[in-house]
Amino acid sequence: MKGKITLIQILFLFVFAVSAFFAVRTYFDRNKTEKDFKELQSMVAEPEPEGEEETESVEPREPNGMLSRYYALYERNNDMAGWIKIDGTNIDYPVMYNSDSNAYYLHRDFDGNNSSAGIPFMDYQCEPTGGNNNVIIYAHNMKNGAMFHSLLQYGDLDYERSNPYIRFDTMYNRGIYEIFAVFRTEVGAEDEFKYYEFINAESREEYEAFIDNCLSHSLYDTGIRPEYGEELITLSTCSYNANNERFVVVARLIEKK
Amino acid sequence: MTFAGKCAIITVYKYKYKGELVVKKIYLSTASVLVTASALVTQALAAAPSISVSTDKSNVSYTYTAVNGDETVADAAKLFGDFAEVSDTEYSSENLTITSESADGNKVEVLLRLDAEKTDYTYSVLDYYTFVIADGDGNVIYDGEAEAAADAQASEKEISFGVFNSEEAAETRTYTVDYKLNPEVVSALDGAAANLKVSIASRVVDDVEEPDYKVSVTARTPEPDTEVAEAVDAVTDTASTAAPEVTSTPEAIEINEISKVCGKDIPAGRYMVSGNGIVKIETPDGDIKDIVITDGTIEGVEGVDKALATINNGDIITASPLKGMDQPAIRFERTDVSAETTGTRTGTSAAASTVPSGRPTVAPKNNPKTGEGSSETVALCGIMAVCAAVIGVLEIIKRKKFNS
Repeated sequence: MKGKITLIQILFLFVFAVSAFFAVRTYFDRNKTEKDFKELQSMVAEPEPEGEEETESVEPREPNGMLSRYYALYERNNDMAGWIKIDGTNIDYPVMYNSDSNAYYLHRDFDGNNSSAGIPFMDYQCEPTGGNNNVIIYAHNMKNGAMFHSLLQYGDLDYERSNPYIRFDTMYNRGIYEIFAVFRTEVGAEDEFKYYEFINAESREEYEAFIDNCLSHSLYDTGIRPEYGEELITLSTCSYNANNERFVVVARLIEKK
Repeated sequence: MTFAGKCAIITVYKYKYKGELVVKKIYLSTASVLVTASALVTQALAAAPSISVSTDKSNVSYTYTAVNGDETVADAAKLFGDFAEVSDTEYSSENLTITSESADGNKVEVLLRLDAEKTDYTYSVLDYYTFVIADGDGNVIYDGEAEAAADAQASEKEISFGVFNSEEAAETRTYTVDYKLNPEVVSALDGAAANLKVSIASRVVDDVEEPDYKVSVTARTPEPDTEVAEAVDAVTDTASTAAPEVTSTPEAIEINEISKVCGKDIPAGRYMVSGNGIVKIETPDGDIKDIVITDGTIEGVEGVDKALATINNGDIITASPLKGMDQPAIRFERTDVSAETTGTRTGTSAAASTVPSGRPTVAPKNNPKTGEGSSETVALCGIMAVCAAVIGVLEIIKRKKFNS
């Protein structure tokens, strides 16, 4: 009898050990993700300042017109579409692009290997070289603070006033965007705002309707309304407030080099 | 008492009955506990395989079993609106979004299946409707009009949407299904449509070749813009090749002259640029992009062998020769008609000399789930907690029982 109880204990111990192995592996996977992104950040080649005077430097480019600062990364994976950085947050990541679907980089790292955290990626219907009315970028909301977790701080107007800009560079142009709307919307709800379906406006009315929707859903009033034709950027991540809810930040382009 | 029952005996509670202490015991089957634990682990680590099909109007979801050869069939008639309203002259159209999730690595083939009773007539009920199916890029993957009539004795016809999950555990594709009455069959078999069953079938398969995509642009796309087509023909005819020869398909646009205007000489779109030359793209706003293209055959010239360029109406594309060349030889290959990207994945690029508008797809689009998958971690922790509790309880029982 004692032996049988011991046998059962051993079996449960085995199950415990297997579960612990997978739990630890998940933990190390997340830590590895952090290291990988640091390595990618170190590969960005910042141009050296020319001389002592602070003059506006010309951004070095490759013969094909791509920004040299990201070219080493682009050579490593041609799916790279750009880089996103938001001052005051830890959002400082490459942005990937897959023309087939939005699922590819949801759980893949920069090199296409499986990764639970994924990597920020551009909507597959966008044009990665630019020229979209609205560029949509998705990323996970990781509980350890990675990816687009910091976006949720924009739920606070004071935070938005302190950090109103988003830097997004394509492989060809550097861009600075000014946030004008922040909202939540529940996917599948009757009153869902399908912001992710707006890439290019067929007409002025369609563009204005999108802006109206963004402003009416916004958590607060920034006092900014983009004019027809201004390029927009939409950052989307999951919110844990409700099931299937998304937290969205929309900004307009104010500077392009 | 079975062996399994003897394996685990847990004291549940003690109570007094008529002044006497009575101990109730529950016999647990170790096997059932282990199976439950295994199922929890499996469930935690692997999502249930599923297929979902949706249109703009309705959502049909069902699951398939993961055993090779098994298949699941679901009535799909409701996906196609009211068949009674279908015309025999104009196509009705439905946009389907099919998502297949197969975390266990199985490939899944999804099909449109037609079942009908055999007839003694010349025609088969399977041909009652004519279907034309195109994928999300406008490629026609099935053209019922081009297919031979089914045998009157045939009772089943399958049209494959393709094999999913060859590379990804979760894969979503969009399709446009056009359908109309087949006038020949309808006149002969009036009323027989009631016997026709339309369903979506899915089955786990081994290595199955993807259906041969027929890019019948001429069959389903509207007439090309003749102004653009004429201009392109003129370019090809007047091209003189002092430059090294650039091999090209008849559908590619050869730019051997000095400049082209997008919207007039070349359609707007996304192109893969290759060949030899310096390409300058100037937008109406004055933005200029310079690209040096070389296939490596010109000494002393550094550049790229190909580059992606998006050109919009009004852009002026100027090609100038590389050092040592008399003329540039640049090839613009349209990429936004098919799924080709910047070169990391293979795919067919539909180079076109006309205006390939394809089929506009207004399929419902999914918003990717960008939440952290914490359920796996929670399940693992739960399993560990249960195991630890059981081990602890058994240890207490063991000590009490054998120390007393």
